[in-house]
Amino acid sequence: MKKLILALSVFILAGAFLAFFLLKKDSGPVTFTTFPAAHGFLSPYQEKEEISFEIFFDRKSMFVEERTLNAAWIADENGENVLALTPVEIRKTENSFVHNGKTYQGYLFLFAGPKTDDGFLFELKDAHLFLEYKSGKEIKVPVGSFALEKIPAFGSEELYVSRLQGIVNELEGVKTLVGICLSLKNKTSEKIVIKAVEPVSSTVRGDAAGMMELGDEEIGPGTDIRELLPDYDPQLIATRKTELEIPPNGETRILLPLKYLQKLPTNTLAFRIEYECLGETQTCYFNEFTFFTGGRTVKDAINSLLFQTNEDD
Amino acid sequence: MKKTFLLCMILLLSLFVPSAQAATGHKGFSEIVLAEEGKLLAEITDAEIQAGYNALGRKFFGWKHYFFTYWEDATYKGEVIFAKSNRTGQPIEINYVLQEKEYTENSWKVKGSISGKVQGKIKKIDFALNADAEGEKKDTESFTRFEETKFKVLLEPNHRLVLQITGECTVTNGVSKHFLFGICSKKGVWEYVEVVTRYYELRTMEIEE
Repeated sequence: MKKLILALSVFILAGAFLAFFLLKKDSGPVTFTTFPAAHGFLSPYQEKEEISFEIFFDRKSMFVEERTLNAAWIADENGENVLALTPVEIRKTENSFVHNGKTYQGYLFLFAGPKTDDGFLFELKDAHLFLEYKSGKEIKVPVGSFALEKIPAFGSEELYVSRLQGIVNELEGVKTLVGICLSLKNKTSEKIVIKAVEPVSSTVRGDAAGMMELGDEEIGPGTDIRELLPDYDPQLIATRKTELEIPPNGETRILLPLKYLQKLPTNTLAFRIEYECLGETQTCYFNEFTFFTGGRTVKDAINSLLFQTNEDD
Repeated sequence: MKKTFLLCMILLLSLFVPSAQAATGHKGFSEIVLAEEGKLLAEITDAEIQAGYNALGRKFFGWKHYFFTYWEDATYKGEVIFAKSNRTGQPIEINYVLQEKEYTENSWKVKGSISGKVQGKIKKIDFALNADAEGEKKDTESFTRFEETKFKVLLEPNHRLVLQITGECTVTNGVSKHFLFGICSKKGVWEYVEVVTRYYELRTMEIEE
């Protein structure tokens, strides 16, 4: 009997030591960062939009374990103007980089946005992702700008987007969309007047004044936008409006220059097309489209990131 | 009254990639255009390859490489990675997600008795910008970040939708020999294309009956 108790004690003690060392290895300071960008989402009232952010951590910790995440929300820096998100998944990505001798591994945090019964627009120019863990720990990650618009439906009865590509240039060393080339097809036997094409974003604007009609020429996605618009300035937003006509059953190809209220890059945009048909103003919504991925992120851009450290306990 | 059908697709890319090798010799790259100097392996003559081998000389043990094109910027035209036709009388909703792990962004072309491990060795020894940093963690001069690609679009009746990739890449090619006690144990030519940026273009067109 004594032997059994002794063996059991040794077994429990060994287990406790093992647990202690395993836990010890996983606890301690964790440094994390993210690449702030202009995030914009469109979603029909009764659909839960998938919203994701990639956060980089210098080591695996409880911060990237799904089961430890209790709640998440988007808000401004002070935690006001809140949009609650439902955590769905945390997934390791293929992206990693080295900074100050430490390897930062990317993790994609996936959330579901809210369902609504009617129209709703949530915009923040300086958005933070708040993550609350079951341990009571809370972290706040600046993600850039954020916009979510709830809409009745995508598409329209009168027109559709028949071709879509981006114009991508480097602004201050970071690749970002500077223009969109889109072809619009008029489905009706009436004239359609395009009033504006506006990205769903709180910091990226469509420059209606610079909107121009294109011919059939091929425009490479890496074309310098100044070859097309010599006066292009990414931060100068004109108030003048340009209207473009699409003849009955016709098609028009448009270049929409994009302007930036803040230096936050974007590779994905959703947009609304405001148009007039038979004297009525209508809106056609086009969901998020990823225009490009990749592009080298240079050391200077990494050095300018906000690296935060928090205890994993 | 519109009816929509939800099509959720997490692609097995191989189903959509043409199996035939493109003129570039790299699957998935139908055209590669170098920005300035250098040649693609497909354009290098047998005489130039032989001259490359001759330039290598000998070594007692290990690899020797001769580069024809070294880390040169280029643009490429990729394949149609997704296509869908709507032959119904109603618009259909396409919900497309391309997950990066299902997509091979870089391409090796190897000929000769070198294969397999040589890719890693060439990359590790010669592509590293700081070869002396081997064995220690060095800050990345730059890194390429690829994100999930997705879109949701309504496809009109009697229309076909295609998603095509173009982009920017770097090209490196050369010849390599491996020596064992001064004797060449294997040799071959190779080319490595590394994707830097992928651009996506969406087109829809009417299906002609």
